[in-house]
Amino acid sequence: MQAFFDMVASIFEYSFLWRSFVAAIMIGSLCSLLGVFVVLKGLSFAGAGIAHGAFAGVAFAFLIGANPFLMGLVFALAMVLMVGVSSQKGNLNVDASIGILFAVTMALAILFIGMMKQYNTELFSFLFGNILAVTETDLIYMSLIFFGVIAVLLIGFRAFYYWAFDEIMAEASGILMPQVFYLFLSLLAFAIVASLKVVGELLVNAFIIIPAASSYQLTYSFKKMAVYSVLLGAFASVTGLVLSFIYDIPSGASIVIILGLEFLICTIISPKKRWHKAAKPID
Amino acid sequence: MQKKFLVELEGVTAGYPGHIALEDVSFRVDSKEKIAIVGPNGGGKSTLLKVIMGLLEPTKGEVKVLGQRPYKNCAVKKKVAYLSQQSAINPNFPALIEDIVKLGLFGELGLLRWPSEEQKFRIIKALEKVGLKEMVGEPYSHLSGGQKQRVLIARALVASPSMILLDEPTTGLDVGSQEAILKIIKDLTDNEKITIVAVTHDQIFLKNWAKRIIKIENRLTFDGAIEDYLRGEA
Repeated sequence: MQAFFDMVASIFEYSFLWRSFVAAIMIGSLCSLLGVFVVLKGLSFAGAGIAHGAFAGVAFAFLIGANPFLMGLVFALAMVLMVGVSSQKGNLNVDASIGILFAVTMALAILFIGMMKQYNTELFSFLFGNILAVTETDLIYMSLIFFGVIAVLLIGFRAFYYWAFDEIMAEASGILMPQVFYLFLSLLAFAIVASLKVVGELLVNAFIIIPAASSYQLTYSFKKMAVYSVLLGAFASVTGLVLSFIYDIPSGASIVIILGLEFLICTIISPKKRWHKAAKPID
Repeated sequence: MQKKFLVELEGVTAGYPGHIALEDVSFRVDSKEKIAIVGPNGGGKSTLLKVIMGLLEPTKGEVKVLGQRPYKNCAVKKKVAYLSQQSAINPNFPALIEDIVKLGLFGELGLLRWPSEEQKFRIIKALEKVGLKEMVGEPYSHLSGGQKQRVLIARALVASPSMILLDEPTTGLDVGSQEAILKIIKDLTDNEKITIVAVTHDQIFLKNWAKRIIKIENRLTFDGAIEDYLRGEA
């Protein structure tokens, strides 16, 4: 317990810890909010695919000496565009398109890393995440993305909600398709790029999927699912960060393990489960 | 004076890259008609609905709905409602019944307007018409397949459409639910004077509701009265 209080005291003492907490809360809640739509639309593979694309961009940035954040964003958005083009013009479903680009962008990342003259530890922090290394500049980028994505989600909520329920009925009601789909994937790309330094390319999809899948167990209401998802995501991020500080373990891994435990608990207590048939949802 | 039809298709050809799903289809739909569209799977029935809804632009020919070209036409979309097949919708989607019905007001509300008291009243009236008024605050996922379909019909009704397009409205439902849907659709066409065009394979639905059959096998192969169609099938 003393370690926990030491940690809380340290947040005010060390600016890098304060930045880490702010980053963890922002990224945890942003990814888990987008995750609600990802889970309901069955786009679980999209997050992993876009993260691979973004990492290829980061690797390319390190190779040519560019800004990794911006290059990651360019690659992630290019990936969204290519998913759209290949699924529409190539008559492929979205999963297959992402599957192709998932492999190609990872190959590109390996190629770029292979072309580097020396081992780059900073690059690998984007692969595995290093939340304690979040700088003030990173935090500014993250804040811009956080508030920008939340604003677009709020303004377009009704369209995203209708799209998540039924795409054809949404389009028949006047919602622009596939523009809403591309817009959503672009928001996801922004959130993923903002998350790379916090949790790493390999684990970012867990941030998107697990809180939403956990909250799905608890409620029959979309709005409550979104609120629970954000709370679960933010709680896991903060708890995981505290544990990583106390036990000196990788922050991304500890956050994802907490997310996994949350999912387990939510599944066990879920009022949707058959053996809890008579129970009321936590509404 | 030339008669105005609700839907007019003249030599319509439509499809997808590398695949023509509909070829040279022509017919007209008058208001208050009870039309069933039949035909084999892959025969172009859903493509036909998409053309009428304005989701797909014909590569040849002309289509008019309410006197206007429907493709990307918001005015037409406000007056024509569409119901997807049940199988296309996540049965466990986390939503309350009133949230689903409210979706039908998207054409009026857009992204940012809140429903007025009058629009909230219409939500209740629409649910009353399908016999689910008392369940307005219940979760959608708690409903049976038939009740879910009734909620979707209420979603269509809330926008006061001139025409409703139904895609397999009774497929996968038990006999009791099929009868309940049939009763609602009969009421809509007979009393509410809404034109309904339904893609269906359901023989009970055809025999007890439809007056006119349009058979699509990539081309129009039959267009006539239900009695003539059933005689031909026998």
